[in-house]
Amino acid sequence: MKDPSSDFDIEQLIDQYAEELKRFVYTYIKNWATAEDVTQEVFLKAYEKLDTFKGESTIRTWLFSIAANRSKDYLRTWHYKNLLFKTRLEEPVDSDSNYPEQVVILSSEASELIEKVMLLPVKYREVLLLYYYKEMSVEEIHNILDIPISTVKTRLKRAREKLKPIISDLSHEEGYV
Amino acid sequence: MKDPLKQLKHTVDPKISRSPVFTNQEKVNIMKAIQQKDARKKPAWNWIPRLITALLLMLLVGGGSYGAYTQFFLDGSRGDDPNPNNPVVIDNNQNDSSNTNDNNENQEHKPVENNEEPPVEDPDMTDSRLVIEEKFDSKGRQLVGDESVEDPSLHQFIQQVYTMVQNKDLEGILAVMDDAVVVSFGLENSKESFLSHWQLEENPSDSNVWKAMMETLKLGGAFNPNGKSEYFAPYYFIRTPEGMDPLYDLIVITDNAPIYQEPSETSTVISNISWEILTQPEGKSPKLDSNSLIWYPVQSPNGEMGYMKDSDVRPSADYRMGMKKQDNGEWKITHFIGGD
Repeated sequence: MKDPSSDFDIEQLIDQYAEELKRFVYTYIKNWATAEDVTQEVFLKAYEKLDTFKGESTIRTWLFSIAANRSKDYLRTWHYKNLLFKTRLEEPVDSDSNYPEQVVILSSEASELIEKVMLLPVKYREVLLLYYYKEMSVEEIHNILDIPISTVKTRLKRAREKLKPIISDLSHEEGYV
Repeated sequence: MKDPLKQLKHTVDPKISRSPVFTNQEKVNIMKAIQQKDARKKPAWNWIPRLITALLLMLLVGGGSYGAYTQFFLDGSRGDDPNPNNPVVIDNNQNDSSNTNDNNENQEHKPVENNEEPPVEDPDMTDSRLVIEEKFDSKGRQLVGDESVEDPSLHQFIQQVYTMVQNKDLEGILAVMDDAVVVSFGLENSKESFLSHWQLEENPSDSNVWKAMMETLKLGGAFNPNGKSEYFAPYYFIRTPEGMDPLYDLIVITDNAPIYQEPSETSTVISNISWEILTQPEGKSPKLDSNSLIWYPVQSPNGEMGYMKDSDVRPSADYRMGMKKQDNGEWKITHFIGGD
């Protein structure tokens, strides 16, 4: 039987997916410089493990699962927690706890929705962004995050609930209701 | 009812798209990390030439300690070597192709000698000093220079660092490194980040950091325009030649470097070029060949399109080393960072 990993070489994967993965990593980390480092780690891991890719999912799903895991690994590091702590200590009392990159994004246009999404806890944010932003199916998200399908659905539901006030406003504005 | 969250596709995408695009330099960084991984994989089968050499030694030389032969077989070092970080002692001819890119690294590989005799020190290794020759491109723009001669303490420090790099002396490098050394724009500024970024925790002599540091130091350096307490290598990083794009241009760093038609050493050489600033053709990105060699697409000053090996050419935003004079007059390495 043909080895599915033989269909891909790492350079082709970098050319095809690096930009998309870097943006995905950013949605976890909210810092472009760190997203660059983590994206590099994603491809190193992919390079090391490419021969273990069995073709059970698409290569894109496989890469996204590595990216999600590496991003969460970073969020667990002492460096990130320390950075978060310092940011909170230094921020003015009534400001958001956003990084500069995010402030640029948010101050440019009225985008309350993305602001709220980016402030959701990671476990809700990731399913929401994979489902809506990356337009992935529940099945694909289950493969990427290695969580049961029922958990994907529950988290999607809870994420929507957390965004309910803004969704409701948007629905009125856009005439969805 | 239409799901209002579906607009996330349109709301999020343009905003996140405002990010810097994934640049060629980022691709190169990934490919360099892959090169390093590949270099580390190779010792897995290196036991074959080692076994043959150890057996030949036993047959031809005889006597001596079996422990020394066993040690040589196990890790390529002499059993009595006091420094486990010393480079593998093996004949240059048995080196893999990746080492052919760096003659200086090859100089460190001494031929196996009779273990009964004390090792003969190679004067080139122990005494070799960093000599920086000024280099100019065809338009007369200076690419390499050495301002460290203006400060004897700095000049001596750079020589010291160079010797440490030649000897792959990790302990020495860490001792002259600032605790908050900057190694990446995303990682914490620390020696721990330096160790992990360059995969120095295990088998430090296999790390690409030595090659990268050596190449950087050989390209000279200049003082920070704000004062003489900060110094950066290479020279062109501070004294940016007029018209050079400090982020996207490439610099030819050797004499008579070949430009190949395709990214392969077997491809036709279309011309040779020395010490020049080249433009990266738009829409083309660096390539990684099956030997893990990185190839840069280039456009020569005559307009010829081709590819050059990464041992001959360097992105202008590639690694640079920053040094800073401390209050006590000692110099420390404060940066070793690539990209932007």
